[in-house]
Amino acid sequence: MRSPASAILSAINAARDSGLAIRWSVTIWPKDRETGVRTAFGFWTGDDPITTSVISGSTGNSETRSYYGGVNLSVPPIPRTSDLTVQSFEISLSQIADAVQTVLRGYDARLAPIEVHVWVLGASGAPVSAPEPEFIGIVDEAGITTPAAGGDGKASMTIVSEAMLMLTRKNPRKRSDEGQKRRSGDRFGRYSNTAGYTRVYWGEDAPKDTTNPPKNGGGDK
Amino acid sequence: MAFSFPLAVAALSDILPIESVVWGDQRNDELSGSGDARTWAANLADPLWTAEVGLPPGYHADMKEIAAVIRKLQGPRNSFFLVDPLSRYPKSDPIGSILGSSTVVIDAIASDRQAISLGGLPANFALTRGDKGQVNYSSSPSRTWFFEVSETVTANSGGEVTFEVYPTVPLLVAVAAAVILKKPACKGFIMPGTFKPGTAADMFTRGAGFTFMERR
Repeated sequence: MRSPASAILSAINAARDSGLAIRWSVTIWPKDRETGVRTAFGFWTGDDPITTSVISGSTGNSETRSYYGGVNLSVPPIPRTSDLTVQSFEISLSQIADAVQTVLRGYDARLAPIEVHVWVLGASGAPVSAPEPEFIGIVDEAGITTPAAGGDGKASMTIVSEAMLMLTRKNPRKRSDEGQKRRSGDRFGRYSNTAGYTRVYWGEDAPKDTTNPPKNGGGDK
Repeated sequence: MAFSFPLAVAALSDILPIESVVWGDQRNDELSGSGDARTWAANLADPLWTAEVGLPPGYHADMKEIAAVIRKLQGPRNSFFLVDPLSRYPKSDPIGSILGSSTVVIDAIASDRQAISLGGLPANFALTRGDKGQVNYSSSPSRTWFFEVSETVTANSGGEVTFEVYPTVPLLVAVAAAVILKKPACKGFIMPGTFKPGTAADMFTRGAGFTFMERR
């Protein structure tokens, strides 16, 4: 269990009497298509642009970030599970807002790091304390939906947790011949990738096929 | 005349012969327990001013003029300034003659941004609950804060007064910003699909109207 900042905790405790004002924000670091440099873009669900200090998802320290407002940002309920499955959810923004177009069309948003923060605002409309990260991940899929005339479109990004995604990667060092033969010439896995295709003929001669002989001599002995 | 958006008060709001209006605000709250009355609320976005405007029957030529300007807004694309027809001037100054040409500015903003102090008012000027005001702030895009006076107050002899406002003062509104109290206008647009140019029959065009929504 994490312990939120005391100002956030007391705002939540006072919710029954004074209500809460919750805002969401995302920060995304798409890549410049020419230089490859990642640039930070922030969007929040408030109206005016805002520059404030937030808790960085990567360092845990407070840092100053700027957010564009009024871009119809919508963050769905974030899946909270206790297992190791890779969870994904889709945030959506206005497909017409110029800042959103810049991120998705002008920059390369593929696999861009993204952080989602939840903000608890005080009566003044400013965060009671530096907003804390709610989800850290990468952009797995992004698209801009252009609707029929008179319809609502959106720009959406599907976010997955990078940490969970990396758990599904296999370690080739443990299985492949290339990895194993570096250890004192261990060739145990030499035919492992073709063994599954070897045909074995029982009680009969293998067909004489000179144009397409079975590989690795299997069944032809 | 070149059109510059948002359309100024004189370009559209002043030529609207508003017959009926529902001037309200749209709350953007999430609720819990409204079924059993133990209601909790959390605010998801700032409230916005909204108005349902009805226009009276008029001669075809007159109504056509209004419709032409509204169509020039290109649906929800362009904004205009709309004066609340119920609050053209403060209640204590119904034709704006006491305010005259005084330059009203924000002297201070309370730390919780629920109250402001004004300076530059005429001495002993009274502001009444429900009076409206307008502050233009920020640039590219320029933004407008349309607010309502929440308590009845009287300025001191130096023309200074502090009062609570609704909605919350936006974070970018700063001290020394000019405040418009004579014909304050709200910047907004016409909600898609709500503009009706009216039905023309016999001598009159009837049933024109639109729904206005603030654009922040």
